[in-house]
Amino acid sequence: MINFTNVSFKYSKKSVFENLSFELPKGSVCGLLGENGEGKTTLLNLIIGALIPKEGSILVNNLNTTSRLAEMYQNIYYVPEEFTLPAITLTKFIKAYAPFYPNFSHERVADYIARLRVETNKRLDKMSMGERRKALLAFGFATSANLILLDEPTNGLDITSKSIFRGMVAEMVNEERTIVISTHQIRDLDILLDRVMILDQHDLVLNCSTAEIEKKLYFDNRYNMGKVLYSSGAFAIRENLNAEDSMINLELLFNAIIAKKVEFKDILNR
Amino acid sequence: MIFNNNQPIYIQILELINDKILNEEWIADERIPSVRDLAMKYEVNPNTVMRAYERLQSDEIIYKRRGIGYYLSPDARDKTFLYYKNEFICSELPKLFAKLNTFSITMSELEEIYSKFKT
Repeated sequence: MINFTNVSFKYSKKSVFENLSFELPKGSVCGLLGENGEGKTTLLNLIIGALIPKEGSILVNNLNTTSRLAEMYQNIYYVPEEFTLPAITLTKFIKAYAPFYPNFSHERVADYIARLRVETNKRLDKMSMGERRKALLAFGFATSANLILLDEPTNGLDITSKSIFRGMVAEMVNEERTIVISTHQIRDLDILLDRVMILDQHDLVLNCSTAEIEKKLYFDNRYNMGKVLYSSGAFAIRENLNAEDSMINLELLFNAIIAKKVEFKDILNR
Repeated sequence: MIFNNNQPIYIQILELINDKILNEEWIADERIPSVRDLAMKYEVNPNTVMRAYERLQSDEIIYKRRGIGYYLSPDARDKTFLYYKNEFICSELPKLFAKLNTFSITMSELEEIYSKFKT
């Protein structure tokens, strides 16, 4: 789905990525985690071709992002963290922008609008951030794009909408589609993810499926027996030596990887 | 849906499903919700529901009809009942016995309390 090969990118003098290579398979819901300023949004902008790498190549659906072909954009939808919308209603917005997406479903957009309770005859520029985000999520999911990128999608959403949004993501998952969600609100979304990417010090320090993480690491109570790889409060991560099932604690994993990058990379790559 | 942090989600989903089987919300030889429908309902990744269904399938609690969907096995309720009874005996009862021991509660005392509970 997404292939980065030796990608370097910098803003005037400030280098963000150097020699970054990774692959993101199709059919996954990937959480993109990282502290502020680590390049999450830059990475998303590189994927959509809004930013062009100084070196290396980026392929999305086997198309080079520098080509910026309509064919590529028909299958990508990006909901940024902050955005402004034109001074028109959602109904007019759909009429104007849906034709760019050959697989756009008017039936599904109506369904999402009803579920998220978005007003269709209110001007988008008069809406609150949460309302605008819901409008764009409803539109974006209806495009049926096979790559959906969401930057902090739960920001500004009320409790009910967050829950509906999670149901929408669960519904969208299929073998051909990848959904990348950049977020700090791990607890809003962790049960949807089947893959985790972590950016730290401008490097991708983790790009791993949750199945692999579960296989290699065991999350439990720090007071239990056995060697602890990392612990915080009452929680601990150990090596999963007995092939047992446990529930990934993403927050703990994030802190663990930031603190002990080399150690965890070693275990996860084994 | 809110899940706890102590157990893998698919195990928690299995427990929700077992309740449905024991309460006869799901009925023998009737079709059960698709993986996608249940994933939407519980707001989880469909792979997680799939994992629970695979377990149920290998335990012969559910069966698959190619191209149609999953069905509840005829003896699903009996199997689930026995499984849970056994699990209670193996993991919950020892804890109860340990407490009875600590508080020196005799069997006759326990019988008395239990007969009161039943009425």
